[in-house]
Amino acid sequence: MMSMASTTASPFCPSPMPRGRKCTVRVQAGAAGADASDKSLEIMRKFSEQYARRSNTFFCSEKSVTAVVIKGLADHKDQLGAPLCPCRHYDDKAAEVAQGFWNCPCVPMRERKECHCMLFLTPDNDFAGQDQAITLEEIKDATSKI
Amino acid sequence: MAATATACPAPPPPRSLYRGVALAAPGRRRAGYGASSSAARRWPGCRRRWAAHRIRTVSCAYSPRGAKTITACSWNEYVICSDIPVLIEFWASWCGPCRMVHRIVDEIAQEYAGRIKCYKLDTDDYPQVATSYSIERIPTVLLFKDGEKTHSITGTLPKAVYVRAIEKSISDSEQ
Repeated sequence: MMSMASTTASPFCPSPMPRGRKCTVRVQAGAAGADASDKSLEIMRKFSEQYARRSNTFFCSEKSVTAVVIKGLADHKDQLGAPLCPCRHYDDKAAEVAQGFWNCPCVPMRERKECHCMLFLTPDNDFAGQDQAITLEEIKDATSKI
Repeated sequence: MAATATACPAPPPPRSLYRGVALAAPGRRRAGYGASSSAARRWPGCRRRWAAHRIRTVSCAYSPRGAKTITACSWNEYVICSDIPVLIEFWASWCGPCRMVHRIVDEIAQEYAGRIKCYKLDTDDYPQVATSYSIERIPTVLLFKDGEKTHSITGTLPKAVYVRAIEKSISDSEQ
């Protein structure tokens, strides 16, 4: 789970009760994260490599960005049945999955090569690296530090 | 022959019963909670609104679906009623670019300590707040001054973009 560390005190837990509730949410999220299967992770990793090559796009020069997004896609694939984009806020994830607009590769990516997750970057992008490959170990390393 | 009234009427109930009808004393609020929080002390006006919420269980304005969360209330105190500009970063666990923006916001929080406040909000933990501000793409950074949203920066941009927006908020605020 992403740390809430900040140089200022957390304003969102002013009393013990909400913190407790939040811990419950975090535990659930953590459990969901732990439930992300290696199978889905491998599927999304392979998909990402193939799609980068086919679309002539490149992974981020900072590979941890790539790793985290792939992890997010795998989580959504496990939980929702489809790799919903992890870099958006949804009111109803199940409805979004059914509609398909933001299932990876999302419509903006398919139509205009716009990936705001920075998973697939066109060569001219400032953040684009040279790679179209990433290993399962890289993904696990980058996503285990939460 | 007149009937003799031999039976006396039942005696009146003991006076102590009437004293038992007094209203129960109102329950005392837990110490250190609610109105006594440091934030409430700092913003007396906010304390009244906050206390009203606690007592009457009023839904917060920032929970359009009626969810009553402390965070929505804290939001009102820490963001809307802040005396200096506030920066909020909306993030999610598996959003890769959010890691990059985290680092930028952490640097900014140190460099502008005392002049602005910086917070992060996990949209999975607090979806109502994200929804009420129409957050769609993550990461999104919002800036507030005097309780009003002044800037919305979406995506991963160079630090200079955030600094420019902050400087504008600060200079406007100091006029």
